[in-house]
Order: sequence, then structure tokens, then C-alpha cells
Amino acid sequence: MYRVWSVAHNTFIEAIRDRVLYSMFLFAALMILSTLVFASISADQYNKIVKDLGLTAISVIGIMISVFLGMGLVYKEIEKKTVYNIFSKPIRRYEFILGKYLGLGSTLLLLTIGMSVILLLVVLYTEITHGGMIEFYYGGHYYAQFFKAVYFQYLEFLVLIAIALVFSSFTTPIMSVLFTFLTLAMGKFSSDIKLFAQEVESPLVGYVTDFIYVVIPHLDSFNVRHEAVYGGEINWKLIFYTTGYAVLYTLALLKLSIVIFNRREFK
Amino acid sequence: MMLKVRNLIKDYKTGFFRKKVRVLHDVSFSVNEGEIYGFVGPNGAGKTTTFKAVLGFCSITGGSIEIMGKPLGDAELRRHIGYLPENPYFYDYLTGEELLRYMGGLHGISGGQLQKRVEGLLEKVGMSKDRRVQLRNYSKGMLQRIGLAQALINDGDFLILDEPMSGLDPIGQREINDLILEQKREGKTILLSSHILYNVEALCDRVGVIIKGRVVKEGELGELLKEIQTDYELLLDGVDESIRERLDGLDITLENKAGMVALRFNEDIKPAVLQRVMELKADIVSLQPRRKSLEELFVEETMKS
Ligand SMILES: Nc1ncnc2c1ncn2[C@@H]1O[C@H](COP(=O)(O)OP(=O)(O)OP(=O)(O)O)[C@@H](O)[C@H]1O
Ligand SMILES: [Mg+2]
Repeated sequence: MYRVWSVAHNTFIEAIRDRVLYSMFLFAALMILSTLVFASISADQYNKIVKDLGLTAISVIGIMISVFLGMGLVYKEIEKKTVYNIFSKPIRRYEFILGKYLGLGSTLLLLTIGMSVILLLVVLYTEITHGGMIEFYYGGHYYAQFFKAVYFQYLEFLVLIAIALVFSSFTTPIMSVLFTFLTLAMGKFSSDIKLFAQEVESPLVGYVTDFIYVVIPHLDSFNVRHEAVYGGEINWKLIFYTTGYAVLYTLALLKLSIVIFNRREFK
Repeated sequence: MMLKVRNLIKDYKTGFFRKKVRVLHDVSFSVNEGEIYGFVGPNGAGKTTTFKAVLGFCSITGGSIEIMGKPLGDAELRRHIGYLPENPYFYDYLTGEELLRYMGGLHGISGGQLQKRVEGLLEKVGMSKDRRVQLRNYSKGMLQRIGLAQALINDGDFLILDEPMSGLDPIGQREINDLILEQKREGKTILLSSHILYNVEALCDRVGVIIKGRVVKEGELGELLKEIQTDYELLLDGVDESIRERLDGLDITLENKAGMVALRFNEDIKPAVLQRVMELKADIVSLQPRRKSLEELFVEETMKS
């Protein structure tokens, strides 16, 4: 277990010492702050606009960071031959993959918390300047919705870095970015694929689309921004099922990464 | 026996068409407990490839490898192994100290024990001063030292060092030399590769010579040196190659050298050769002991194969 922790720790250190990560985080902060401009020009919808745009900014930047950090996760270690150091030690290959995943997962946790805190401050600021503190006191529900949306978003990041990890364990960073974004795109439209599957006449196409529907990640189920902002319901049942789905899907991906990585030769 | 490699064969598939290239043809050697074994050979002979196979980084095409009596592939075995890769590249964003802590962590060493080891090793390889410097700012020699330190982090019984002297100045080489000898005194077994032969001679108990993917010689360093060391070269003036006939029955080689004749022969027949030459009244320019360097041995063996 300590070996897994060591790999995770090092992955985390590598990420937070990466300058690109800082620029991306700064960019996210600026995007969130810029929502204030939109808020100031829309009199009564100010708060919804800030939250909607802010959560979208967190999502977009978070996805970019996940893919950016995930793409070279395993590939870089093989390419730069650091695997020779690692696997001359008693660590197993699956421990390495787990460590890598946990390291990146905690990096994204930190980033998600960081971005959410900034957004929360911006939301509070707009409320104060618009005299809406009452809502802050009496609208606990309002904030619970906000945190639920952030939590769902983090689940999406977790699935995404697992996808990037799979690709990274057998292909180059460029290919793995490509594949990850492709999967991402399919995942975002997974419910449309379901609809398509129900529409088509041909049974063969139906089976194929059914299969694709089952295999691709249902990333659109992690998007509860609309509910969070405009007061829809995010009940515990939904939270439970979505969490379960994210965990199972991630475990399957980790297993796949391990199977691929176990077969790799380092030369 | 620490390591036993038998008839190892390794093919690489390269290029788009996955063309097979045989890199190791027939590698057999064994390393005994407590000795320093030198694995020597010219560039591209297959030293690094052999080490990678021993550590299980790549599959092998044929033959067998046994470490401490166990077949390859047991992760637990690596508990007892320390490995210094060739041209060690490490994470350049880590400091020397952080690298050692990480490598120790991969061995499952933690807390106070890890701290103590790290401190001790930094001291041992002379890197205490630069422990907080990021590896991206290390020189080649510093990387080599920190690399050696990480190989020692688990205090393993079997050290596999790929070109431990490369990139070091003479003082640095001497220090590493001493360090390796110290490890031997502590009872460690050491397998090291090199093409800098001087280092091998100063360090090793036994050597294996690998050329073009084949181990062509293996044995006690003393014997090997005897075999290659006891040549003499006698330079004669005022004679020509016909002198060979007059020296019939003696095992000599003859060579024209700047208008003179050079005779090469083994130590055993030195008196006989000298006596005949005196009788022939040839003009002796010089008599020099000649030590075939391992380079020449390489050349010889390469010619044979
Ligand atoms: N991954 C690989 N794919 C194809 N060929 C390889 C690969 N790695 C090494 N080789 C070839 O195998 C041969 C032996 O290489 P190796 O690195 O083992 O030599 P070496 O004895 O360590 O040499 P040096 O003294 O230069 O370190 C070389 O001809 C090299 O081109
Ligand atoms: Mg080599």
C-alpha cells in the first residue's frame, strides 16, 4: 500500500510543479471572475448567470486539465525510461497504475476545490453587492445544489482521467488526447445515441448502437448544472446512482489499463 | 549462486514491418555470491539488453535466467536487488533527496528508517550539499552519484550497475570505485558492465566478455589477464622476414614495423627466442612486455566470430 501511495505522491508532485497547470488554473480563475461582467449587465438574473457560466468554466477547464495531465501519465515514464528505476523495485505493475490514478485524482480534487472556492466567492460578492444576502441566509438549499453540481463535475473528471490513463498506457500523448476527446464527445451525446438506437429499423445497426451505448461513458449524466442553477431536483437517489456508475466505470477502466500495462515491454 | 544466465537469446522487432533483429545470440554466464563480476564488451554488444532481460523489463526469446535460484518474474526478488540504469534519467522536477525518498517508498521503506537511509546515502555519495537542488540542474556526474545512491536505498544483496563509471572524472571514478569495493566488503554481490577496461581490471574478481551478443570468454580476471598479459615484443634491425625460418619451432608472430621486424611471443619462450636472436647476431632495438588490452581481445574475438 505504501508503494501505491509513493507513486500517487510523486504523480501529485509532478502535476503541481508543472507550470502549464498554473496557467490553466489562472485561466480558469479569470474566466470565473469575468462572469461578473455578465452579471452586471443583467439586472435580476445576475446570480444564475454567474453560477451557470462559472460552473461551465470549471467544467471546461477541468476537462482540459484532466486530458492534459492524463495523456502522458504512463507514456512519459516509458519514453523517458523512468520505468527502469521503478520496476527494478518490488512494486507491481498494477500498484503503479493505481498510484498514477490516485495521484492525478487528488490533483484534480485540489483543482476542483480551488476553482469552486473562487466561484463561490464570486457568487457571494454578487449577492452582497445586489443586496441579496437574505438568500444566502435563507437559501441553504440553493448552495447545497451548487455543491452537488461541483461533486458531479468531479465525478466526471475522475472518469475522464481513467479514460486518458487507458489510452496513455498504450499510445502516444497526441493519440491519447485524440482518443480521449473522441470518447468525450461520444460520452457527451450518449443519450442521443440511445435515442438513435431506438429509432433505427435495422436490427444489426440497433445492436451496434446498443453496444456503443453501453460501452461509452455516459458523461451527460454528470451534468446537473441546469438543475443546480435553475432549481431542478438533484435527489439522493440520483447522487447514489451516479456515484455508483462513476465508480464502477472507473474500476473497469483501471482494470483495462492494468491488463494493457501488464503486457507492455520496456525496451 | 547469485545469478545464472543460460543460453539467453533476445530478438527485437523493429520498424514498421516488425522485422526481427537478434541482439543476443548466446549469452551464458554466472555470478557467484560475494564477488564483483565485470560484464565487458564494446558498444552495442548487448550488455544493457542482457541486464534488462535479467531484471524482467522485456521478454526473452530463448534461454533461462535464474536469480538466487529462482526463475525470473518474482517481484519479491527485487527486494534484494539494486539497479543503476545506463545514463540514468530521473524525474527532473524532484530534488536529489526527494528522488531517494520516492525510490525508498517503492521498496516500502518509510518514516524514520527511510530518513536515516537517505541521509546516510547522500553522505556516502557526496551529495549532501546538493540534496535540495532539482535534478534538472544536476551534472552528469551528480546524476550518476544520485543514481548509485538510489540503487543502494534498499541495502540489497545484489547490485546490478550498468556503466557505473560513465560520465565521471578520474576523481569521481575513484570514489565510485571505492564505494563499490566497500559494498563488496559488506558482503554484497555486484554485477557491473563497462567498456572502460581499466575499471574492470581494478575492481572485478571475474569477468565475462560479450561481443556481438555472445559471451566469448568468462573466467577469473587473473587468468584472463595472464592470457592476455604475457606477450613480449622484440624489435630487430638488420634482418628481414626470412628470420622466421631460422626461428623454426618457436611460436612467434612476425610483423614489419617501420622497416624493422617485430617479433611477438609468449613469456614462456622468451629465453629461447633471445638466445636464437643472439646467435643470429641481429641488432636488438628493444624488448618490451606487451599487454594485450581487452580492446585487442575484442578485436581478436571479433575476427574469430
Ligand atoms: N529497443 C531496441 N530495439 C531494437 N534494437 C535494440 C533495442 N535496444 C537495443 N537494441 C540493439 O541491441 C544492440 C545491443 O544494445 P545494448 O544497448 O544492449 O548494447 P550495450 O552493450 O549496452 O552497448 P553500450 O556499451 O553502448 O551501452 C545494439 O545493436 C542496439 O542497436
Ligand atoms: Mg549499454
